[in-house]
Amino acid sequence: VEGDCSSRNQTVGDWLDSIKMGRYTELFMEGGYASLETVAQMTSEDLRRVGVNLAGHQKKIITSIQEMRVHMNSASSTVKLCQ
Amino acid sequence: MTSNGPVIVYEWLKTLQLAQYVEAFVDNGYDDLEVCKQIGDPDLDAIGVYVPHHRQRVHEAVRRLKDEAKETA
Repeated sequence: VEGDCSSRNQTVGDWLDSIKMGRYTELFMEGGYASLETVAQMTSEDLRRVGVNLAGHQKKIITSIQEMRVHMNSASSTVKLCQ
Repeated sequence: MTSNGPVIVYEWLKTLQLAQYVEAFVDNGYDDLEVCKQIGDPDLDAIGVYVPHHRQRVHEAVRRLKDEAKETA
């Protein structure tokens, strides 16, 4: 099945829940960050604009975004292997 | 990217006799003293520190952290 190679179709809500930041899901959606691809590009400036104002929450989300970028880089190389 | 920040936050909270909050602090991203320095009332609300004298104790400790930073600068 084709979809198998891109099995990581986690939503922004799932990701926020997983780092206990689920309360921001709606703000992310409203801010136009509805996919993890767009979220992965976010800066702390973007986070503030969306409405994440607490220093700890910013730190937590930014750390997770940085990890996400690393994962995405390795994920895209496995996609190539799949093809 | 391992950090001993959470341990330091635990030690800090322990000196304030507020170690019971360590998990809530770390879960909310307050996992090193640099970020703890920025704690105000909205942060304590998010962490779940509602007891007034606990909040007071954290506020005083945050002030001390900032003062220490100024002295060493």
